[in-house]
Amino acid sequence: MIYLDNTTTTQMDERVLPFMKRYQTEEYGVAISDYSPSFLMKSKEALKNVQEIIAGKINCKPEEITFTSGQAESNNQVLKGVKGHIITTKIEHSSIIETCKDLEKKGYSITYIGVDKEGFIDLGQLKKSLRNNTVLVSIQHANQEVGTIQDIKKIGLLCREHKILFHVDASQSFLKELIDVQKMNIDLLTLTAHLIHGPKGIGALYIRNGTKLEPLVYGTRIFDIPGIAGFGEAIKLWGSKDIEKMRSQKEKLIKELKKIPNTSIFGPINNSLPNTLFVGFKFIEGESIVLYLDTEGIVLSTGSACAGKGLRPSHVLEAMGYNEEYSHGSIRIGLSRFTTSEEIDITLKKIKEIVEKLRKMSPIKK
Amino acid sequence: MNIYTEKVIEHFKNPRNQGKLKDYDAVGEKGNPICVPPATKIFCNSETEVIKNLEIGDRVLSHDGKYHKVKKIYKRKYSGNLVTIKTGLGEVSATEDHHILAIKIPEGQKFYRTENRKKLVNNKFWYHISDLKRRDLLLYPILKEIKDKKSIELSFKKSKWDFRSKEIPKKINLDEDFLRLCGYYLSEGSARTKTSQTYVTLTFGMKDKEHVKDAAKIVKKIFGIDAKINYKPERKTINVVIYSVEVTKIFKILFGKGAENKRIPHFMMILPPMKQKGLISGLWKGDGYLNPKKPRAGYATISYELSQQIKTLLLRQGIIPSIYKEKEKVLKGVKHRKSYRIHIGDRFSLKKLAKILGKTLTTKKDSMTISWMDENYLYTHISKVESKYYNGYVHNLDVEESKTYVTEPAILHNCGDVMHIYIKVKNDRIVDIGWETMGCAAAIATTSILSEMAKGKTLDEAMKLTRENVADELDGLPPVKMHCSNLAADALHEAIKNYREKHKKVKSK
Repeated sequence: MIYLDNTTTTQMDERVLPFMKRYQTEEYGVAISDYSPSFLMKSKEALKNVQEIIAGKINCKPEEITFTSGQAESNNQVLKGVKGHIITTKIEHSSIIETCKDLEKKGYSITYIGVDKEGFIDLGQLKKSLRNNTVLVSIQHANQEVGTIQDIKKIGLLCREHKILFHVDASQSFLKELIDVQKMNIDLLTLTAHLIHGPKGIGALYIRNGTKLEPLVYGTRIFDIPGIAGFGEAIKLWGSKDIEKMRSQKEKLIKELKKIPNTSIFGPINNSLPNTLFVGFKFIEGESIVLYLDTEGIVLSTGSACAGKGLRPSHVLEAMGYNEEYSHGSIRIGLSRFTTSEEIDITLKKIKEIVEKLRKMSPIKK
Repeated sequence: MNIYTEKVIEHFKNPRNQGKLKDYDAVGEKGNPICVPPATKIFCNSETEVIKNLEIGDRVLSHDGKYHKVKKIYKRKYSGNLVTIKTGLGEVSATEDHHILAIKIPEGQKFYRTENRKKLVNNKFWYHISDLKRRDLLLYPILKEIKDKKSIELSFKKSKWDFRSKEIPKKINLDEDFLRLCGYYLSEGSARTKTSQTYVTLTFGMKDKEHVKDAAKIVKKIFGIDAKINYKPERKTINVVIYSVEVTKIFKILFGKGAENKRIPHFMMILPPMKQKGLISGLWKGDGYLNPKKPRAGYATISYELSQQIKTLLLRQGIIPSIYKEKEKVLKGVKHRKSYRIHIGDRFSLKKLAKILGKTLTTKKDSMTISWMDENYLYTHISKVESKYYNGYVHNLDVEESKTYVTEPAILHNCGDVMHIYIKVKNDRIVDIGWETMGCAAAIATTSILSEMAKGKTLDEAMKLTRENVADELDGLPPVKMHCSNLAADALHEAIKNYREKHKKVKSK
């Protein structure tokens, strides 16, 4: 099997498992206070250790890191932890968009900033949207579908000038792009483990010291120490060479796929994640491409899905101004550290095959 | 993908009989294209035209508020249900699976309030017309095209028999004054072109002395002509008469002949909205009213075209109109012709209109708002949905770039699976079959298996094959796919009908 759905989730690195096992079956105790027996305190050490690892990656203090069940919880905690006008974008992850919609129903006002054809947000609109009662600006670092990387530093500066909390969802970009919460003026940062070959169901939230957030969950929480330990280990296993490899694989994919006529690449070429590629083929349907590749053992997903009675493009493409004609035949390719160049070659060959085959069947070819 | 049976996957991977037949006898085309009855009015270059009269290259209004070229025109026979949807702007009928730009309102009291409904604007989507119900919202585009024109040139030769008319300037500035005069004419004017009796009359009510003065002043300023003011107390009117062959010709060319056919020319419809205020002001001072106490405003005309154009003009000003059709009737012995009434009840809209007319609202009374607009669309709620059986031709357009076109109350879209089935017939039996389709796995598999099922069957037998037969033969289809991806049987029936029609003609020859 060739797995290329790495923007949805990744395969966990096998080397992470022993660490998780250790805290699941050997050092399974959890310390509630600092005066617990030493067996229980091992969990605290593990937690502190991972806090330090993450703090080192994003340039913050270890105690500013808290752990959550992942991206959705981190994002929910941030949005529901504040009260007032929130500004976000039209291309966020569903855990932002859906939460905002719910907040709107509860009477809060939310502004959704639009994006251009490449997925970059409109800074002018952001500036204009700032109000006296704006409490939070929540903008993703990199997009989950098209990979567009926003100019976080600029936005951070703007928020700092207006003394507004700045939240960044860095689930997709963590370790793939540099993040420095001090330089970028980030107050809140969402991280998740499962996209970097870590375990599923574990995430982190950086909360700048002094930031007040209403907790989402009250009471003593038994943290998922095995997950946290796995998260830490997954971070350690990541190297800078991995990014270079993914980038060159992506470049090859773009170069080869562009040779197929009537093909468009969504999102920018520069300022884009090294592992994310969203490509559309005219005159055919994405579902057919995905299903065919599935039968050939290649796993990836489509950009538009049959929703009810109609085919609906993803909200990201819609916000970028693409209509159905382009988004119908679109697929998302997500590379990982484990993707080999051989796999890329096979995938390219199969995509070319199926696009040609489906186009032959299609009555609209011009 | 687990939603499909093994048989679907098998046919998808190895489709049978795929491809266009070289020497086919008939073809059946099917999809989910928008199809509307032939008399559906489409917005085309600032006027409406019934869809059956549209031609390739005509420019129709699209969801983006701009005009786009018609690329292709379709016509087909249809028997089945037509869904009719009504809003304050008018009504539209279309076949059930048409895509229409709308917002579905979730159940529950919360969305009775307009403020809460406004939060749903990001949920706009192309819905099948049959999925919509009363209270859901339809989107209507605001005309975005703007082209300023400073003046119009005139090139008339003076008629031989014309001794009375004064020379008028060769160039008329398109300023607010002239546009207001145009508004007066559209509302109150008539042009007479009998030989030696060529003149324009503007008929005002006895109370409208101010407008009479204003009109006469503009005529003097622009044409250098002294208009004659005739008091007709027996008719309770004051007439402003312009005796000039040229002025008469200008108004006739610009605005059409007869009160029923009055319309605003395209170049005037796309003037900058600022300038168009003059036109609206003239129109309203003629046939409109604004009651600052109630508050409410309205406009009545017997020209359908004009009523639709005023709607467009008002939307450009951020004013929300609704249109009612009034049937022919006799009131106090006076026969009234079929008319179109434009009504404005929304407070913000009334404020804007009052400003254009130089008036102010004198009451603080709020009016109920159920429609609203943003920079791109007007959002109006559906007041009625009906479904009726229809048998006859339906039409469809393929529009360049935008893929959409605009009818009285709604924006329609054409997209969906497209399927062609080709058949070769010998002795009333299908001897060969071929097909092309753009679609998902279900669309491909259903067509593939249908081609196997139909091959060798007589035409009568093949006509009996149904969507359900096709789905059963594939050991079932996911429910979502039954409706939009299972079109093969329909396309085959279409091909057979076409074959029989062709054959009939040959026989009867």
